[in-house]
Amino acid sequence: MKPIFSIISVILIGAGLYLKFLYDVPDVEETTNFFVSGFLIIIGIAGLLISVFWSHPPSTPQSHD
Amino acid sequence: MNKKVITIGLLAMTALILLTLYTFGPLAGRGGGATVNPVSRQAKTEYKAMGPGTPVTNTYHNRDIKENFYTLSVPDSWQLESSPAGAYHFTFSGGEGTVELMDIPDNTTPELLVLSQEEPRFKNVLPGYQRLNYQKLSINGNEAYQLIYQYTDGKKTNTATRTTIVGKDRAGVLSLISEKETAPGLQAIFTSVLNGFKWENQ
Repeated sequence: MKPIFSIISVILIGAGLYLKFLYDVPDVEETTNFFVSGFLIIIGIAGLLISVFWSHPPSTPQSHD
Repeated sequence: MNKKVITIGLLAMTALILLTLYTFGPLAGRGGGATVNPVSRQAKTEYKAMGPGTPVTNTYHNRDIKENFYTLSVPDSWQLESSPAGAYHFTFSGGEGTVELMDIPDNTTPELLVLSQEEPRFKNVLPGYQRLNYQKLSINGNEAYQLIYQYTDGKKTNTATRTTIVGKDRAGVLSLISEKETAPGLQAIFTSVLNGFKWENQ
């Protein structure tokens, strides 16, 4: 589950950076582009950091009868 | 969930709130958007003829929009009026001139934009619109598309020369409008103004 979460986060960051720096934004859509690209980058970075720092509780050994 | 994850979540939420305030809320307008750079309004006066009766030239260096700095020279008899960022609006005896920056969307070309969007718009808006000429030019090494047309404004007929000069991000659009009777006499000056338009960061 953790690798999938990390990959999705990286995709979000990539999409945000693309919209911010490479996409040719029409003049009237600059505000929307500023918000959407910022939103994607923030969520992506937060998701990536959470996936790095997430610690699973130690699993309890199961007894086999 | 450990403390680091909670901290990251809180920081992300704070960043999103700040982003929203910066985009739509009370902080909007402080970060982005083009503003008029005072340098753009300072004219450098030179003794350089631009046409009959215009021995002095004012040169402006527009530094309003980062990827589209440009230089423009006009006769000093042209009066600079209030203009938005990236643009100049001049009035002079018998006409007016405007220089502005226009976004060219990725899904079209400058020529297509001029012929399929701008010209139909003029036909709808300007009474008595009539195309006089259309040509592709090269101005200081940049491709340009020039549309010359006339329209009626009340009782008088105006002639307009609208030239779209392709730039790095946006295109420069020079619109020079004069009364039909005075247009031939201003042609040499208009040509000098067009040839004086140069992109600075290309």
